Amino acid sequence: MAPFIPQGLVNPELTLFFALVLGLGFGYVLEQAGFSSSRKLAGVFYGYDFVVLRVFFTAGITAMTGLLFFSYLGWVDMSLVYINPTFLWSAVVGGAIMGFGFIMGGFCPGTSLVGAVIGKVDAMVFVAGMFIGLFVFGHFYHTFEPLYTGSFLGSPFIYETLGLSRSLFALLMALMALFAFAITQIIEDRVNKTDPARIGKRPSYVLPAMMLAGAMLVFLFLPPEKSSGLSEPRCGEIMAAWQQGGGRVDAEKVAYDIIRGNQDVVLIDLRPQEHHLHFTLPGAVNIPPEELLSRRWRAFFRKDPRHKVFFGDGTSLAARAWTAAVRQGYEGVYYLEGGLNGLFDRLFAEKPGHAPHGSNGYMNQFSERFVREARQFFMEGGAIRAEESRPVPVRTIIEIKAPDVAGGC
Amino acid sequence: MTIKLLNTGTLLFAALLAAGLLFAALTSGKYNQSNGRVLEKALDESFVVGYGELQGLLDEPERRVLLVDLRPAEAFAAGHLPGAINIPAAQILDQNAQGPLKEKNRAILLYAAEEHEAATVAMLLMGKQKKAVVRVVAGGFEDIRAQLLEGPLDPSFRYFRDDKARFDYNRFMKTATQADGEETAPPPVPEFRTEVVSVQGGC
Repeated sequence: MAPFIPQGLVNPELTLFFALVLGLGFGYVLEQAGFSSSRKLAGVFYGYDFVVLRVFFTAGITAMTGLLFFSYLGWVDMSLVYINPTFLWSAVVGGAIMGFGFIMGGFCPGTSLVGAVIGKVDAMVFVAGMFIGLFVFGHFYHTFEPLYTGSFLGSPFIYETLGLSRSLFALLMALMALFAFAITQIIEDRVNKTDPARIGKRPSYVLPAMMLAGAMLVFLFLPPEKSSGLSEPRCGEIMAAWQQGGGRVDAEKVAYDIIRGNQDVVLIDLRPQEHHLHFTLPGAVNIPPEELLSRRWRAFFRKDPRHKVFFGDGTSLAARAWTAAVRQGYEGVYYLEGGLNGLFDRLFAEKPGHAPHGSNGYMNQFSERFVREARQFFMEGGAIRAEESRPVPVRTIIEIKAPDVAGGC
Repeated sequence: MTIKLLNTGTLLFAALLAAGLLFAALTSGKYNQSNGRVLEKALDESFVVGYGELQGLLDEPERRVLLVDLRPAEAFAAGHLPGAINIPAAQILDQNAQGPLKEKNRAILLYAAEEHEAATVAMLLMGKQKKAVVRVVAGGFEDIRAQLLEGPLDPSFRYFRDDKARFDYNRFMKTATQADGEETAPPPVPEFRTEVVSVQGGC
């Protein structure tokens, strides 16, 4: 799932490499679109060539549609996508300066570099002017700082500010883009006095426009995220498994696993960290329940072959965690019925003859004997020994020493 | 751009969109609310209704909640909360049972023999009914009966919660963390033990 670098799927040290590749690609696209020509770029201000508006509007709509779609499918985690923060007055003033420079010079920063690279002198002059401006800004930063860092608005989304849904805003943007394409084409034809015969020979954009508008309309009715995943079992399957006792583990089973040092079971403590630090069962891992479905623990639940047993102070929290985990498609998950309260009640409370559910007389005696032995085991520090005896895998590092060399000239 | 290229691009866009929507459609229909959203609601403080709040809800002249008893019919017949309807847990996800649960402007309040049973059913129900407000009563029916049906509510049970420690666990079971009797952070468990082997090599 994207974005890849914040998710840890791609090495962050490759950031500059990807920046180089993307920069090369961006420069190539700009050059192919003719954006190395200052006359073409300035055409948007004089009305004879609106290619800049059309290209950037197309890029924006494409990116917006892609993000909407991928976010819905769960292929992009929008909460991890970096959004430039908004500093209102610096954006206004900077935008005005940039627009003024664009009209005067015929370039923006990116296109000036494209033009300079292919040898255009006006672009080189523009780049030189850009660096002078950077130097002036840096040298007098302390003067500009209040304006530069003032009126910080965070990273708001325009659709949130306008009180619209994301999908509705996307539809309106697409319609605005299509309208802008049509209007700018009419303005171009009038300014350039285009021959009507030539206008008639142009391909019709009605079909693509309707496709785009239709796609945006579809998005209007899609929820922001999918409600079901491919790996999620059906509701009825979870209910059936639960009703047959699936997922539940009793206190004696957990006590037995601790005493035996069973390596095939990992206990998951769902309680707050401070409670976990104060006391927890041997070898238990602390996972806050709100992080259960996060990417951080996904590999643990999907790939670790051990059985995972959730527990809390009672049963309710562990049962909720189990329900969410099973629905997520995680296998080998269980929850301790009764929680720590139930475990301690069973092992340490003064209730001789307390029979576990559904046990007959023979099983009752066996169970009581086990409980007595388990109680003694834990009170004598058996849990400490169980934790210390857990084998630790070994990593071997081979250190090669240079041989002692004697002699020489 | 030639007309052919334009139409090809348009059709490709349409095909990609249709494929994506088909893919999405294949995974839809199981649930109407995402797992993350359901878990978020289930972990909210308001998910479990304490006895003080429950008593207030039962005393309202116009009930804003729909009380649902998830126990088998025989248990329901033997005793239940006033105004509760009986939909056994095994049937609550059936289409036939969904009718009373889709009543608008009423939150659904579940209770069962044990709180965790009601919590599991509540989460599955929230997954199926996106707009439903589903909550559970704290504790099991025996706790509810003792507090609300057999005499006045004990004030100390107003905010009863299943997930609260009833023991000082350290008194009974010593683990390595608490071996010295102090609250300390557990030592970091190393993922592996490093062994350095020195060899002499070279020409």
